[in-house]
Amino acid sequence: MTTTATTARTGSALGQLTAMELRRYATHPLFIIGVLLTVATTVGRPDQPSSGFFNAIVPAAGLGILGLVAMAAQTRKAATLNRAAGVTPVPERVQTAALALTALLPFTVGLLWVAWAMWAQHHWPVPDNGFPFGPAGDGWTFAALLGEGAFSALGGPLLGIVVGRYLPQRGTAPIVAVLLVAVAIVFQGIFEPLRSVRVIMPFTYWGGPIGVEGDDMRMLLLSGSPGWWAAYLGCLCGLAVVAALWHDPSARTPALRLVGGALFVAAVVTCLLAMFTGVEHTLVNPLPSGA
Amino acid sequence: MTRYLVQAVPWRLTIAATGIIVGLMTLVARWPAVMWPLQGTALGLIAGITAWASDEPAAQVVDTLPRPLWWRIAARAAVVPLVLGTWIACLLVARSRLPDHFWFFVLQAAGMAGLALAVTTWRRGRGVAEPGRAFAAIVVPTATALALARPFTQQLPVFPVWPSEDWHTSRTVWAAVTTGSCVILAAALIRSLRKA
Repeated sequence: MTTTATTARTGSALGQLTAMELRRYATHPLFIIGVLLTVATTVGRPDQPSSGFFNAIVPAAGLGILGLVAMAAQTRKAATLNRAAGVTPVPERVQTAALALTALLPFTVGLLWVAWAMWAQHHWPVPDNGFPFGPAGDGWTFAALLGEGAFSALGGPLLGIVVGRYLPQRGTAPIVAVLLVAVAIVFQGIFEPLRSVRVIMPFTYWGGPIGVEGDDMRMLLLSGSPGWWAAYLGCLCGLAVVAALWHDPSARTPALRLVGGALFVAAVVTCLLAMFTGVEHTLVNPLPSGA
Repeated sequence: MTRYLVQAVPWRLTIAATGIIVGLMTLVARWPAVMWPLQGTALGLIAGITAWASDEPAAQVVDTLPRPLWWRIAARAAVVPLVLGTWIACLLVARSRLPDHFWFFVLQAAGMAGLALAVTTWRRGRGVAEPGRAFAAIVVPTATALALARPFTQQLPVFPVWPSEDWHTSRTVWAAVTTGSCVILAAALIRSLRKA
């Protein structure tokens, strides 16, 4: 009976905290800027050679990068309020769970963007010399857009919770965001030696006007499997939640350890599958870019 | 003033962020066409460094001391020549690999630093102890997102790179930001002088 009552109380506290954090996140200036940027990409006809594909950077930056800093600030503020309250009314793990559930808000916006991008792909089909081409069907397109546009919007805020918990010092979250962007740009698929390993990054491209000798805007389709990459990103998001919960010593249960271990193994396996399955090697669009 | 400057400015953060600017601009210089979003990101960091240096964590004590706000602002603003000097050095070293708009890039950096200084000085004058932390948390990721997403490049090119982009409009925008920042900063300092 006592256990049932405690569980009910915790559940209700989680619901209330989530509602409160959702309200705070929805009104955060960085979230609003991110949503406006994302919505701006859906106004009018997208880039002709790739439909909405190249706009995936916008939800990734607007909801993911801005979300990382916004959520780190929100996590730090929640911890400060808890400290100021003295005896904390709810355990830290419940607060962390509420923040993690709040990250579903930018994820939902990211999913809506993916839905728009899929619709745009059919409404304004890319020309034969555009991108994607060849073996990239609807499933391939959906998986790539899901990873680039929606999982970035979820992963950024979840990483923000981890940063807010472990590195709450001034300036850390913006600097982590900047470093993440710098590394992601290096691994975006432009540099040939890094193409196969680029899928370890939470954001990468699956092709575009990378060019070949004599045609520097020729469309290429890069190797790997976007489906497994999206699964890998899902594992990374799960690992971020586990890492954020781990900060609370009372949450370090064998079950959490098991979940963390399983997610780590799944992340390694899916990352390797993303690297070595799917399109075997870089494909060049047979039609020149100006055709 | 030197003693205050040494103790008041978060030097570890300042030096780390300045080092990151050098790293970002090195990547931009090496592959300008691909890495250009990092130029806007570095500009965001310039504003961030200036803003972080404006924070006064012990404001409740410091604000009661005889030293006026303008004196403390002037001391903390020493990071501005440091970060602008680093930026200009990066531009000069990589000049041959960047678009031929040296003074425009200097204007962008001056605009970012000026904006950060103006906003944080204004808010410090209103009694906010740490305005830099909040401002940097907005300006650094927003500059990064704008540099990556490049929205409205035809109408409002914030971080132009290609010759076909409207550099003239962008120059006007950045000149307006810099001038507006100087006006706000002057107003905040005059207010502080009157209070003193």
